Formats: sequence, structure tokens, C-alpha cells
Amino acid sequence: MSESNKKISLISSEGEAFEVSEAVAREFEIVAHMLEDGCSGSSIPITTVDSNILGKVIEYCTKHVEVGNVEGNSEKAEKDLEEFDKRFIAVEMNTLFSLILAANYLNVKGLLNIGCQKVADTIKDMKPEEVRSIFNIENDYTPAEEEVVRKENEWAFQP
Amino acid sequence: MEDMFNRLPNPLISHILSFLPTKEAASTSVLSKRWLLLFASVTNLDFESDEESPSFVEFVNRVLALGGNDSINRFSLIFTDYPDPDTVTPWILNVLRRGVSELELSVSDYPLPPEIFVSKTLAKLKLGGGDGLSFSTDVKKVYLPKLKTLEIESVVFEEDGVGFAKLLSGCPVLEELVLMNLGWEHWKSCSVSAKTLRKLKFFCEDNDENPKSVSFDTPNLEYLEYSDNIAKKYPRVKFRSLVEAHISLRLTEDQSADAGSSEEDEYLFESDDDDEEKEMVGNATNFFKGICNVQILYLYLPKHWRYLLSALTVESDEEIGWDSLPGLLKNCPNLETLVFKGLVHKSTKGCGNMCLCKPLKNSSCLSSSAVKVLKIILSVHIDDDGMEEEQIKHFLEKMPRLEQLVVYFNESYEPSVFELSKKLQSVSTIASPKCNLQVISQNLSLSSTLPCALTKKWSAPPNKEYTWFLKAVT
Repeated sequence: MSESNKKISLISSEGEAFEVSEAVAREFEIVAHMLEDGCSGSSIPITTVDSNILGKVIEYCTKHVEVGNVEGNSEKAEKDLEEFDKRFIAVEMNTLFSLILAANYLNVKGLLNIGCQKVADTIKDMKPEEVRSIFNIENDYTPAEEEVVRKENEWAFQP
Repeated sequence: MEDMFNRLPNPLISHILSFLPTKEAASTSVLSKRWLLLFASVTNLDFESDEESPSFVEFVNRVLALGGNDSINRFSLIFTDYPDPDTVTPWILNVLRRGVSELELSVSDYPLPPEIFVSKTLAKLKLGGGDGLSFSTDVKKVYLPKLKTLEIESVVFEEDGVGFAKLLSGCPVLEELVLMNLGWEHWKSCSVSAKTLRKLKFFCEDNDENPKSVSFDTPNLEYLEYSDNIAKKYPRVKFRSLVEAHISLRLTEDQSADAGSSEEDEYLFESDDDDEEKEMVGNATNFFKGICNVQILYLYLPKHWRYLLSALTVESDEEIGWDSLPGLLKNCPNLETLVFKGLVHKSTKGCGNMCLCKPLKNSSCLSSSAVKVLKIILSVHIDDDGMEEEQIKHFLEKMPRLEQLVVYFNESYEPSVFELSKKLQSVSTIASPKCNLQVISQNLSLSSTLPCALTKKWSAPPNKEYTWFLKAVT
């Protein structure tokens, strides 16, 4: 059996097994490192990620491995992938945060970056009051303290 | 409901803030006490201001100080006011010390600190766009061992092409290069020499000067965008791997105007000043020879390109029709020399009655051609049914400005040379008032003047014309 056809089972926090090709599993840098360190087992427990999120991360990595394997026509492929990323990351905030955490833990850089970009795009052009209310951030400054913070970074608060 | 950010550790929040302009990232400091300094750990710093306000300078100083010695991925400074170099330089030295890998600077009237050009960490460098960034003579050494992408726009090189060459020579792994409006039209020469380069954009907006000399020594280049006035010469053009090229060569406005005034056709090519040698607008022949192996070519010709075409050689091929010729003959008023290597071609509808393949219905496009010299090389075996002979007669009967017709035979069979000469002399209705006819073979040259055979001269080759012919067929 060739290297790329080898299957690996990823086990979610609920104990559910996801069988993927080694190429897809290697997209998780944490798994790639385990394999390089001689961890030979064919099933790898991902204890901090639940089935729902693990399934999504695998979907992301599978698509990126597929497109990466196709040669030629790169401009169209790149556009398709961009479209895929855009649709993939259009999820509600809680799932988005879970994806960011999972991508960070599993070290899937592409996914981590599109996730963080999505949160940044949401915050962008919002007033602090709006950000607080969307993400339920409690303002624990006293008005006087808040004034000091505004003064320290005065330029950042200018229109 | 719980604060959603409680799930994320601080470094992840800082990573999210790295995707915002630093001004916006810093405004999150007011959200809650936890957020007070999260923005200070971002790895990308983007500052943009159009005036040197004390609060801006203070802000940049503060953010850089808060970051301590943490490594920085990207630093971008767009500062279009004319700041004090003593303010800006410490910022740049700070991020260079912290191993910045992407640096973008657009600062007005600012000599770039030499330290930038010896960075061991820079992978991407974007300079300019503003007004008067300069690469001064203070930059003694350039060594950027990791630099893969370099974009420079409107940067002033104090040593002209020499400074520019110095910059490129210090980038051993450069893959992508964008050059815009560097003023190379005032340099003695501009040479883009980079062995590892894959992608090049070479752009200059409309202006009144032609570059004196442009060279490309980029053997691994795959993608080229080139938009500029035609250079006077292209001494060195080396593209061995080119896949796609977008070429837009222009004339200056004056040249366009000259080219457009058809009475002064000659002016374009010859200087009125007797002291000066015959001067071309520019000569892109060498450039086009250099890109001749490109796979995909987008060619944008100058507005008056049709005035520039003075000679055209048509190679014969029985699979190719003459469809493109009528348009060229009609629209190129300076096309005075036409050379055919053989007369065999595919019979198509679009040939505009260039030939006799189809019965003549309308007038021939040859009637409006400006061609004065027609050379026909019959190096292959001549058609038995006299196609060549009929075609040459057709040229004589239709081309009103023809002054010289030369037919070359690549065989020594003399009867056919005599015969053709005789037959052509007998054409009674030639279109031009006077045309010199020469029929040349390996050991015979027959010359006469049409319409009436005023003079006949026989001589033995090789003469001057014959040497030209030998060169042309090899």
C-alpha cells in the first residue's frame, strides 16, 4: 500500500472514529509531528475536539489536499478554494470560536487564519459598545479608568 | 450569556487582532481590563497617517515599546506627510531588530536607512508609492538573503541604474519583482538582472522620454508584464522559461503625433539634423527576439504602430491563408518592402483578392498598397500550371507604387529564368508608372525596366542583390 493510501483513524472527544487518508491527517501539524516522531498507531485520539467540529476540520483539510493535488489550471483552482473557504467559515460565532480553538490545537494554519480573519472582519468598524454587546464582554472599567485608557492610546480613538 | 472570548487564551485574541489595522486593534483596549494590552502583542503592525500629529508619533512609539523584543511578522508604515527622518528611522530599526519579515514603507521625502538592505529576515519588501523615498549613496552594501518579493514604486535612486543594479545584485533568492515609475528613462541604462526571478512587472506611466537602454537578464522568469515607452535599444534580453507575457510598448506623445501626420512619414525614422545619425524611435527587434519562445502572449500595440511597419516578410505555407495581409497592406502607409518566401498558400475567403485563387469580383487590396519594393523568392520547385507566374503578373497589374520587383530562382535552370523574365516583360498593363524588374538565378541576372523594355542588361551574378538572396534563403 502506498504512503498516500494509508488510512488513519482520528478519535473525537466522544470516542467517535473518523477514518482519513494519511495526507489529510498530515494537514493537522500536530498529527504530522506525531507520525514523524515514530508514533505508529493507526488511531490517534483528539481528546479536546468534539465530533461536530472534528468533522468540519476534516472537511476543510480534505478539500485543501484535493485541490493541492490537482496540477495545472491553478488560477481557477485558487478561486474555487477561496470560494470554499468563504462558505466554510460562514458559521455562527460559537462554532467559529470552536473552529479557531481546534485549528489552533491541531495546528492547521490555513483554517486558523481564515477563522481569525473572520472574527477580525466582524469587529472591524464597530464601536467598542457594539463589540461588547455582540460578544457579551462585561466592561469592568470605572468611567475614570476608561478615560485613562482612551487617553493613553489617544490616536487610536480619533475618527 | 457568557463572554464568548472567555474560551480563547490571550495569544489567540492577539492573533485575531493581528488581522486588524493597528489603530483598530488598539481601540479594543477599552473593551474591558483583560483587553488593555492584548493589542500590544500583535505580530502585524499597520500604521497609516496623512499628518505628523504628536498623538500619532506617540502612539507608534508606545505600541513599539509595549511589544518589547517580541518578534514581528509585518510592519507597514504609510506616512504621507513629510515627517522628520529622526522620528521614523528608530521605528524601522526597532522592527528590523525584532526580525520583521514583511516591511512596507510609503514615507514622503525620506532617505531609506541602509540597515534595511542588510536584513537577514526580510522576505517581502514594498517601498514607495509616496513622494520621494530615496535609495541614497549611503547604502553601501545590499544583502537580503531571504528576500523573495520586492516591490518598488517611485523610489529615487541617487546613483540611477548603478544603484538599482546594486540593489538587485544583493537579492540572491528573489522570485517576484514589481518596478513602477523609477525614472529609468533618465538613466544611462536599466538592467533587470536576477537569476531566480519568476515574476516581473515592469511599468512606467505615460511620459515624454524613451528609455535609452533596457536589458533583461532573467533566465528563469515565467511571467512578465511590461508596459513602457519603447527603449532606444535592448542590448541584452534573456528569457529562457517565459510562459506568459503581457507587453504594452508605447510611443511618447510627440512621437505619436509625428507618426500620425502622414505627410511627414519619413520624419519618424530620420532626424532632420544632418549631424545626427539616422535615429529610430526605438528598436524593439531585440526584445521581441528575446521573448519569441513565450507560450501565451498578450500584445498591446501603440496607437500608431501601423506607421512603424516598414518591411514585412511572408513565409509560404500551404496550410496558411493570406487573410491577414489585406488589412496590413491597407493600413500601414509605410509598408514599403514586401518579401514573399514562396507564393504557395491556402485558398481562403479573406485574402482580399491578393491572389487569383478565386475569381476577381471586387478590386484587389493590392491597389491601395504603399509597397515600393517587392521581393519574391522562389526557392522551391515551381508549380507546373504556372501559378507563380500568374501571381507575379497579378502583383504587377495591381500594385500602383511598385518601383522594384525582384524574383529569385534557387536553381540554375536557365530557360525558366529567361522565360519568366520574358513573360513578365510582356505584361502590358502594369499599375505603376515605372518599375525595375530583376530576375536572378544562381548564375544569371536579368534586368529590365517596365512597362516598355527601355533597357535590358545581362550580367553574371553574384551581384549585391544575389548576396542578399543567399542570406535570405539560408
